[in-house]
Amino acid sequence: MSRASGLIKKADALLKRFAPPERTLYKRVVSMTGNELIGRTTATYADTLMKPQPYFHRIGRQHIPGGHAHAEDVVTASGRNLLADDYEFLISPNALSLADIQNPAVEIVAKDASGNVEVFRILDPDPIQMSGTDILYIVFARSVKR
Amino acid sequence: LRAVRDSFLQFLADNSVTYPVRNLRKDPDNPKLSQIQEGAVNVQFIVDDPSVQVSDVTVNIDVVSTAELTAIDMMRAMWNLLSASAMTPLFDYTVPASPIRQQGNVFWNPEKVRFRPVASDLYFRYSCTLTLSYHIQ
Repeated sequence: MSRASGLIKKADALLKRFAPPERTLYKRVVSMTGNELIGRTTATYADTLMKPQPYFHRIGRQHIPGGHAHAEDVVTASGRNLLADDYEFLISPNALSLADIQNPAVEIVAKDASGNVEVFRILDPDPIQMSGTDILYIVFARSVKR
Repeated sequence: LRAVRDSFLQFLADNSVTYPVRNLRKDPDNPKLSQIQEGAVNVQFIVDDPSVQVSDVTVNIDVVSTAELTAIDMMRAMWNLLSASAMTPLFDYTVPASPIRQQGNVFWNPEKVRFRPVASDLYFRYSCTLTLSYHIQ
């Protein structure tokens, strides 16, 4: 086993210990059928459980220059107050590969036990590497659908 | 208004054989639609100006390529298309396979088709802002 592979294994074990348990994260691949140009389409989703579960947290106002520059507060259609913001995920390459990150049809989805679903669009992946091998991805993603 | 958008997009797509046409828009079901695509004609509707007489909708048409010389060819193809005609018929595309002809047309001024380069480190982009006119039935 190379040192990079060993590090990935250690990072995966740490993620398993610290991943937040209240919401489960999935890799979602979106497929569209119909006329995508004019939006007469049907979306189908294929959700795959991410293993190990990533660690994630909301970035929050302290880390956005100028305060809440691009976070919006909104009341959802179902009447819930919601602060949409950017999130930071710590993801193993075993859970989300570089090809997944580069695929515009791939999203990150968080689901809770009550059936609530939040969809995140991947904005900025930042790999932590060793000898050219990706050990972990720091992925910044934006909440786009609740 | 939806018919105006759909008719103009279909006009571009049906007549742009070489380059794919995309509509940049916010769609939570498909977030990639808000991203600019290289090697494509990216169309975004930016201003709506409805009126009881003649309504206007302003559209940005961006041709994007990794190479400047390819972008020039794409820009020229779009200019040829938009300057060769001044209108396209209005259709209802609720069922895309069998569009229904509506009263009226979508017009633009072929003399106003101008492309300006927009600087980017990632790609070369020509942008055209065009006003489309139509009459609400």
